[in-house]
Amino acid sequence: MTVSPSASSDPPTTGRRLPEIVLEAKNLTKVYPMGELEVRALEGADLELWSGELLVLVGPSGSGKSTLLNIMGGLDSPTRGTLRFQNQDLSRADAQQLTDFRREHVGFVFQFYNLIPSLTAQENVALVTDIAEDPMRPVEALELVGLGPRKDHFPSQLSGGEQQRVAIARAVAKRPKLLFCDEPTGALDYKTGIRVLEAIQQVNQQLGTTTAVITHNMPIAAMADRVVTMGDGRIQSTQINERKLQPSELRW
Amino acid sequence: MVGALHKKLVRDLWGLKGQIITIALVIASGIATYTSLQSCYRSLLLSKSAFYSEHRFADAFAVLERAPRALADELAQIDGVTKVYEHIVEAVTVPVESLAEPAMAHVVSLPEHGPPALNAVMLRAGRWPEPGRPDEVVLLQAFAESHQIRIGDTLPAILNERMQRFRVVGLGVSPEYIFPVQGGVVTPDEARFAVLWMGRDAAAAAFDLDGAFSAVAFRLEADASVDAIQAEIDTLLEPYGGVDAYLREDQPSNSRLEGEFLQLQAFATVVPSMFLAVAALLLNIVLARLVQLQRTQIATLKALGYRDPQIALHFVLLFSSTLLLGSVIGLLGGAWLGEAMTDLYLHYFRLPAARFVLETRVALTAVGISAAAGLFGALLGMRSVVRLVPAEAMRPAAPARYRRTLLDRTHWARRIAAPARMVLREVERRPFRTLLSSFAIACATAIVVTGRFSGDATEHILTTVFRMAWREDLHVEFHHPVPVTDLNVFRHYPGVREVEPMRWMGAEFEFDHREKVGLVVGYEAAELRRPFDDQAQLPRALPAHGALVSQQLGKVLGLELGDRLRVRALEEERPRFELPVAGFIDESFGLMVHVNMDQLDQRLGQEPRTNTVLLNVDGPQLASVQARIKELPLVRSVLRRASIIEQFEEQTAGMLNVTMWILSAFASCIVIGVVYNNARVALSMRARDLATMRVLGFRQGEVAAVLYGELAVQVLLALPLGLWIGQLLCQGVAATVDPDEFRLPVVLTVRTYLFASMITVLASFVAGLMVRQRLRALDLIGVLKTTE
Repeated sequence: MTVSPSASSDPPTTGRRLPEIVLEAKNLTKVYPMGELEVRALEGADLELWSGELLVLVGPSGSGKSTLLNIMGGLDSPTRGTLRFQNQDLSRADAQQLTDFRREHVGFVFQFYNLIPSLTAQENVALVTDIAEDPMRPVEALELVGLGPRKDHFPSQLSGGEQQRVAIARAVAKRPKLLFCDEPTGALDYKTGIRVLEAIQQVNQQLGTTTAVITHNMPIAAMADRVVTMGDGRIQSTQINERKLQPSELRW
Repeated sequence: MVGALHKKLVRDLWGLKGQIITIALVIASGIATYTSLQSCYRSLLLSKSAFYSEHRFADAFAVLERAPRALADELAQIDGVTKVYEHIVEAVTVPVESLAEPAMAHVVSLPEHGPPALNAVMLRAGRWPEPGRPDEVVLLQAFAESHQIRIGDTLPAILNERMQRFRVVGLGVSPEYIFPVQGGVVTPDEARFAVLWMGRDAAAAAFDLDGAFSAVAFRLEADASVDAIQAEIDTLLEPYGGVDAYLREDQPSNSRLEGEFLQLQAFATVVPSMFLAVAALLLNIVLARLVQLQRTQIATLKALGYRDPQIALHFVLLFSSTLLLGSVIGLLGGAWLGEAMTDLYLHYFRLPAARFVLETRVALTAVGISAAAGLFGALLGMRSVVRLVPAEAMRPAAPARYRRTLLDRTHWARRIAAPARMVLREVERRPFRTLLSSFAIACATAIVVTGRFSGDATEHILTTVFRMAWREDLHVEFHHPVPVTDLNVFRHYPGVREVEPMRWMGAEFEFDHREKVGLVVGYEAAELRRPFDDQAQLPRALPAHGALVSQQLGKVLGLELGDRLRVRALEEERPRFELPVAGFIDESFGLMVHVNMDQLDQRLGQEPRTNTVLLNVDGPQLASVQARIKELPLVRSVLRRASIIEQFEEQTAGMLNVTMWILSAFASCIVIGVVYNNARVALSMRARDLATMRVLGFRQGEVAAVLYGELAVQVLLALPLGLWIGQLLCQGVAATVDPDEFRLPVVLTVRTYLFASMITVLASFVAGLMVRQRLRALDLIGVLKTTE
């Protein structure tokens, strides 16, 4: 295991060609005005996301993980710093450009699933495939997470783990370049959590989607290509896992 | 403990200010319409009663040809009669320069000394005629004003077929002539009807009525048996050409006034009730949803030990502040509007010296009804507070249950895009809520329809009666029937193309022990005027034998085809005859029996006689023909079709426009209140869905479509419902009119439907814009990071 103090440590070349940088954040700062106070959620964070990697972002509450993920996913804008996606500068993008960025390139998975209760599993996925350019078929996406047979069920008829897998299917159905998962297993028990992590890993490996997962749950870090630790709004350390564990091997 | 809860209340109020203001406006609209319409109605009623009693308006009336003054003593002996006032009333014409046709007028005598015992005149300006000055008159104020006649001016009048000039020394009003109704024409016409009050001696000299009278008014005991009294009066007056005595309720001006008051009363009850009902509905919807939104907070309060009544009180206070705001705006607005409306109506009714009164009772009733209605809504919403189990409520709610809709089972369901599907499922999942909201919006649409109803009805009458049924240019009535051959004189007037005699005759109809007073109309040529079916909008051919009877008369008397209707003519010898019923005709006005003149003459045993002539005149000569007719002593009135139409339009337009716009403004408040609040609640409840869509990459407009789609469905459902409810309301308003006199047709134009729909859609649009800012400011991250 290699541990480096900065996120811009060398990519895991493992003797082959250099992987492509998909998203590059430099010196990101985010300040939230809270009445008379200012909350500095990010204080100059640097991070690169490499094509096809599975990255796990860990750190204590308030360390800035979610803020960083939200900015990288185009849900929020930085106060300072730059963010580049491929050749596009996102740091000065307006709301419309950020919407387009999310629409074309980003998939999100949240702790609380956020499925539309009035749409079935398949329709929830179709919500995205309807507006995407080259999506997979909704059923295909559901099959990818093992939910093909449950496609006609409404969220209220699905378990928490199943709902989260539908959310993953919905996030990846448009074949995004980036998949961001914010505490995807936070509301799930161990067994269900493992099923969800398997789905994420499957998507990452089969589709080659660059994936970033935020978690409080340290053992999950063992399934990542790279583990980034945050603290006080900065990247504290980055480590590359030379041997990744399968989700089924994880214990907590 | 309560202190913190109060703070929460204040902050909630601030946070909900948009919703509270819009609901308060709906409540205010209800209170304002109720107080303004009710207090306007009451103020008018009070003014009328005060005017009637101060000026001793009689309880019963009779007109006759000529009777000796001594007969008054006999009349006073009738049991139940407490006062008799005999005087002179005669019809005359007043050829004023500003009118093409002569105005109709009544000459009414005043006692030589002291005020009249009954039907006193209120002198508005100038003085009374002096004894020994037969040329001095007091003129009806409304007429003087519409012709700019001032005190000191002279006025020509044709009395007893002689032209005389009078000097106007005073202007007056009287309870008998608040609403001057000209014979045959429905709308009161200030410009075409005058009253000349003159000294008794002068009037007697002009009409050859020395020591005699031609009109009599009675004061009756409060519990007098009016039928018996009427019969006795008729018996005593019959030898003197007395036509049936009538009661105050049938006195033309009063009956017209009462009719208008009745409509106003119906209006003042129906419309505000709708507003108050909608306000209750809104409070129910909003409070129920507010409780749902604050589910976790309520659960926390419960967990902390707050009792149900304390929490319920919190919501009641929330509602009370809304009610308070609405009441203040409503009462202030109602008082202002009520006063303005009263002024408008006073001018319309010519009721003198009235003042606006906003009774505490009316104000309290308005606030009370709103409070009760709102509290009912609030309590319904509160049920769920009581039911809430803290532990359950503090857990994140399970996803709402949805199922496949009927639509999903159809073939084309697959083609519907997901956002549209979200809208449809939401609607189908909560049909009751959708219907409730639609119903509230529909009420508003209905109110707009009602506001335009009078205009449409007036337009319909104008079209059918005066544009289609009346085809003559001039309608000339004589004082007495004349031989038809006399009409040849008109044929020689240059420009006259057609001359057609007609015969109008007051009559009493009787069948199967039922009686009604109405008119017999005789036609000779039936080229210019034929009986006209207002419903079918088609002229009807006259039967060769028998009569065509107004449907309403047929209904009242229980007539069927072939029945023999007994007729007693109310003129001269009071001849009686029978007419077989040959058909029925749907007419807007009066109770009429149409026959051809041959039949009528035959039954009356007379030579062909007529009291009306219809003329068609070439346009350029119309004015000169009118001027010539105006001078004829024989002529009682000349009506010009074009001026009646004009006058009808003028008199009704101002009044109707005001009502229409006021109601439209209030209705818009309702629509905005309903749509805005629904949108706010929908936004709060679906914030997560909408934020998710934004995160997934949907654009502002696409997300807004889901929110607006639901509202659009409500509005679309509301439109036909509202138009239908509007029609029902109009039927209700029409039912308040005395059908024997006038059948208000429930005819609504496409323009009205479009206008009502447009107001509804426009107000919804405004409400939509009001939420748009909130939709934009949707906190994507915040919403998604919290549990439901």
